[in-house]
Parts: sequence; C-alpha cells; structure tokens
Amino acid sequence: MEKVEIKENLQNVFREVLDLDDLVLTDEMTAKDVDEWDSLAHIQLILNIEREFKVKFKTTEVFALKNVGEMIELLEQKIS
Amino acid sequence: MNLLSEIKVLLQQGHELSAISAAASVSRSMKNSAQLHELERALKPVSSSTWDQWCQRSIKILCLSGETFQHLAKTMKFAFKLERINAEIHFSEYHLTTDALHPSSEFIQFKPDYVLLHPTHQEISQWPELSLDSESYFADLKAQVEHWKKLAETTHSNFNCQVILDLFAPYPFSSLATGEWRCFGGSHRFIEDLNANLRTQSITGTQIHSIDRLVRQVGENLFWDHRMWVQAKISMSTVGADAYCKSIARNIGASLGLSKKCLVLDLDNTLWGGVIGDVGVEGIQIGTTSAEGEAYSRFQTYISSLKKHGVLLAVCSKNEETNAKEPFLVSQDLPLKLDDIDVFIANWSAKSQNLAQIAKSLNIGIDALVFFDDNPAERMEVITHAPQVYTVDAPEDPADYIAALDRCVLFELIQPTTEDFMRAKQYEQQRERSKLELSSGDYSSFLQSLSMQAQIQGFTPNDMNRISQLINKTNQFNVTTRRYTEADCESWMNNKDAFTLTVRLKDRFGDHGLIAVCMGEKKENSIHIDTWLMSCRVLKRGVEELVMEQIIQWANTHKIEHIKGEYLPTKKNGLVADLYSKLGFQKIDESSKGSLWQLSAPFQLPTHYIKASC
Repeated sequence: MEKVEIKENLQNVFREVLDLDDLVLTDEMTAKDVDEWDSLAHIQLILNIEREFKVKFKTTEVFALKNVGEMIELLEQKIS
Repeated sequence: MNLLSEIKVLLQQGHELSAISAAASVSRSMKNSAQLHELERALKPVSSSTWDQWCQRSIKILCLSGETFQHLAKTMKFAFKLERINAEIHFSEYHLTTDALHPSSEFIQFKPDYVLLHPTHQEISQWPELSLDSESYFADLKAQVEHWKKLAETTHSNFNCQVILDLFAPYPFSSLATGEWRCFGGSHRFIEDLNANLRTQSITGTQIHSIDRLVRQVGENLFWDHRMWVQAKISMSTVGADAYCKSIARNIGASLGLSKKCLVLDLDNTLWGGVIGDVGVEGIQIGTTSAEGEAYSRFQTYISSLKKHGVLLAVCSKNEETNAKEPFLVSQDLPLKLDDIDVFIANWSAKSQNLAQIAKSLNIGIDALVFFDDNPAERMEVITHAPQVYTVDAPEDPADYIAALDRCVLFELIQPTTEDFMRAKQYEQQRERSKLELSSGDYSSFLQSLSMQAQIQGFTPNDMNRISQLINKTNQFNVTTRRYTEADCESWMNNKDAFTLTVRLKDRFGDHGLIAVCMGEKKENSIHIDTWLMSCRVLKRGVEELVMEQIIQWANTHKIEHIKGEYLPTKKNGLVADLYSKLGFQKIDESSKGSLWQLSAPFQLPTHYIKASC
C-alpha cells in the first residue's frame, strides 16, 4: 500500500471514531490537538486501525509513537 | 451465496427491511464471518423509519463493568438493533461493587430496565490456597457464591429492575492442568466451581449470562487479547467482543420474549438427501446406511428434540403433497414423525407466501418463524419477500446443519416453564378439540362437553416466570401491550391497591396451563384495568367472561362504582378491538392512541361454562 493510501484510510478511521467528518490528518498531529481524542477514543483508534489494516501492534510499539506521522510510518513497515 | 454482498444489492433495489434481515442472518452465520462493524457499515443507507419498523422493543441498560467496556458502546448498540431492540446503554467501569451497592442518584434516575453486572477476576476478593484440604476450599467457595448472590440481589432491590449477572470468564491459565481437579484451590477450578454454583442458584430478580460457550466456539487464542489487558484493561479481542455483544443482545432478547416460536423446514436436501419427486422413497438418503443419510438423520433427531421444550415445527416444500409425505408414511428410517409436524405445506407457491400462511395457522406472528432451506435461491426469495422471517444461512454440508442451527441460539428460554414442556402435547390435544368442535351441534353444547375447569389466583412468586413470559410474548389478545419485567410484576403483586389474577385452564382433553393474566389498580371508586392478556389457544372458550366475573367480584368487595379499561391498538391486537364492547362496556373517550371504556355499577355477572376454583 502506498503512503498516500495509508494516510487516506487512516484519516477515514479517525473520522469514524472521533465522529469528525472533515478532520484532516497531519504528520505532526497528536491527541493534544484534537478535543475528541481522549483516552477512550485512543483505545478505539488503536483497535479500529488494527482491524482496518489487518495488523497487530506490539505493546511497546504503540506507546513509542509520538504523532500521526510516526503511526503512518509504522503502518507502512507492518503492511509491506 | 455471499449474503454480505447481497445486502448491497437489496439496498440498491430499495428492499431496506430485507437488507436488515440478511444482516441478521449473517450475524449468526457460521460461514460468512462478517463482523458487526462491517454489517453496520453495509446498513448505513437504511432509513430510521425502516429501523423503527424492524425494532420491537426499547429498553435502557446500565452496564456495571469491572473492565473497560465503554469502547464497545457503538458495537453493542448495533448488536441490539439487529436483535430488534432499541437500547440506550450507560456504562460505568472499575467501580462495580460500589456502583451496585451504593448507586449514584444519576444511575437511579436513569431508571434502567436491566442492570448488567460484568465482574472480572479482579473482583474476586478472596482466592483459595492450593492444598489437599477440601474443607477450607469449599468454605472459600461458599463465601464467594454468597457474596455474588447478595450483590446481585442488592442491585435488584436498589434499582428495582431485572439484573443480568455475567458469569466469570474462564480462568485463562492452568499450569497444574488435570492435577488441578485432584486437589483444591487452583484458580481455574475455583472459577469453574464458582460459575457452576451461580448458574443454578436461585437469585432474586437475576438472570445469568455466560460466555463459556462463546470462548469455546471462538477459541481461547482468538477470544482474549492479553496486550489490550495490559494497555487498557480490555480482556476481549475485537472478535471476542463481537461475539459477546451478540450474545448479550440475544440473552436480553430472549428475556423480552423475542425468542422464535416455530422452525419451518424444507424437505429435499434439508431433511433428507436427494429430491423425492425424482428418486422416490427408495432413492433418498436418510438413515444409517450411508454417511450422507446419517447426517440428515442426526439433523432430524436434533429437530425433534426442539419439540420437547415447546418449539413448533412446520414443513414448507416445493413438491406434490403426496410425494412430500411419502417418506414419513412409508419409511421406518425417519427420526421425525408426521405427527411432530404442526403444519405441513407442500405446493408450488412462493415460500414467502406459505410462511405467512403457516404463521396464520399457528396464530403466531410471522416474525416468530425461523426458515431453514438448503437452496440459496429459496432463502433469497424469503429474505426479499418475507423479511420478518429469520432465515438461517444454511451451510453447504448437511453434516454442519445441526451446528449452524444450534449456534444461532434462536429458541433460548431463560427460565423454562411447564407450559413450554407441555406445548407439543397441547397442540396435539388442540387438534382433538378441533375435531370435537367440527362434530358438535351448537357451540354451547361443545363448550359444555369440554368440561372446563379453571384455577384462579393472584400473582404468586412461583408463577412469576410464566407471568412475565406471557406479558412479554403475547401480542394478539392483549389490550394494552404493556411489557413488564419480573421485577415489575413483583411490584404489582405487592401493591395493596391493585388486583392481580392468573387463570389456569384444564378441559377433558388436557391441561392448557397458565393462559391468562390480568391486573389493575384501584383509583378512588374506580378500577383501571392496566393489562389483560390471554393465550389465543383458549379464545372464545369463556375465559374472557371468567376474568370479567373475577374483576366484578373484586369490584363488589371493594365498593367500586366504575370499571375502566383501555384499548391501545397495535399492528397485532385487532382481535380485541371489541372485547370491552362485547362485555357491555361503554366507550367514554377516544384519542389517537386508543379508546377508554367503562362499565358502571350495578355489575351483571357474565355467564360461561367453566367451573372455577380460587
């Protein structure tokens, strides 16, 4: 999967979970930037991303991520 | 046939209800492993008015959980919607004991219809020590059983509603393995013993839900997510959580009276191998002479076991009737007998139409039917033109038929009653009564010849199961269609200003069991009849007059001047639109919701041919 496609699909997951139809993802984005992205939403995001992309994150992997950009890179690695 | 892709086609054709029906079929299917979120996404175009047509109950659930559950809110709500229930669900996590024993006013004001208690192993306060001493182990076990029983009962009394106690998840590890059962105090065994005890305890206002079967079916490796436990205190994987949400929705659905009542079966390649019209009785595969035949025999045996707890059976086959019946009449190898079949239809009409006819003959709603047919084209026809019927997504191999049907959990009984076990026999007895009626001269002499006897009582604790079962299942002879839980019925029983009555009816052919429920409240010098329902099987036998007689006697004892009753029309209760009018009531008010009827003193006792004892 191309990086552009990953970002597009990831954006759809974020939009669905956070219930924000016009959310646009940026590489630098973190939970602090979006009100709706609380701890519960965070769990749902991880679960939904795993389901959408058919991957499984290791406990250590998830906690090491600093922002959306790193998530996209991690997904790129796991899918290839 | 891939049902999931059929959903899209159905939506394009504008068959929204059928799309939901197909999704309901997929959600219990063994083959199409679509998850709830995929089905939810597929059904996104469905309008809210179609969902209103599909949903039959609205309830509020308070979920008190020891682990993180809030993330399941959307999935759980959708699982309920597929089961025809509009559920408003509130969650509270990590404070199960406090929330149950000392609920906040916010929770009390929410007025839930159900409180779901979902404890985890963390909530076990005292684990036993590993030893060879049985005495201290069983003391520890007893203490835990008592603790959870008390917690559930206190929750019930705090919220005055039905409690669902989720049994503990099987303990995931057991290093001792078989040795755990040859000593005492192992955690795996402790949880199994605790669950086994809670399952059979009599706990006031509480029903049990258990995931052990689900875990076995899904498999432990797929059901649990140990990473999610350490990250977020979530025990179940998305696959496990999906199975859980469906199971809870079904369990509550069964408690609301939404379990199905009749299984309708095709014949060719469903109950035997081959097409009877082509190969004749000698050519069909049934019995133990071939593997294929054995698969069908086992299926027939499973189906006849359903009769034992009150499920009705019907046949709907595209065949000449003589051909269709021949195997039943000629062959010794069929476990199912013709007598086991309550309605037998073999013709060349569309099955969707026949299903409507079957529902009518049995006097049940078409939504209480389950349809099992090996032919995907027939299944699609029924989904499209009779979406209210539950169509099983039948697997291709007949050896898998039993598991496919059983896993659908369509006929669950939360608390089986004597009436459930008697139902098969009762339908047989009903056929005898009908024969007598046809041969009798006039109706009164028929009624007298039945030698009917009735036992009338107020609500008693022993009858609560059957009473709430009737209140939640009865749709036709039901003037107000008010649904009450067992907890509500207890309130009626204890209300000093209310009258409650149940009627048990017997005649010379057999015992109908408890078939009528009526209750009402005294308000100044009037009685308001809140609920009056009856099983259609005993329509026009005089039970209507018998109940009226009881109400009048209560009215006279309590110096009542007026007896009032409402008729609230629904799609299913047209039968009783003129009940009050026939009993001599006057209509005193009418609105868009329904009509209000009144009978004033002095009251005349109606006549009937039933010998009553109170």
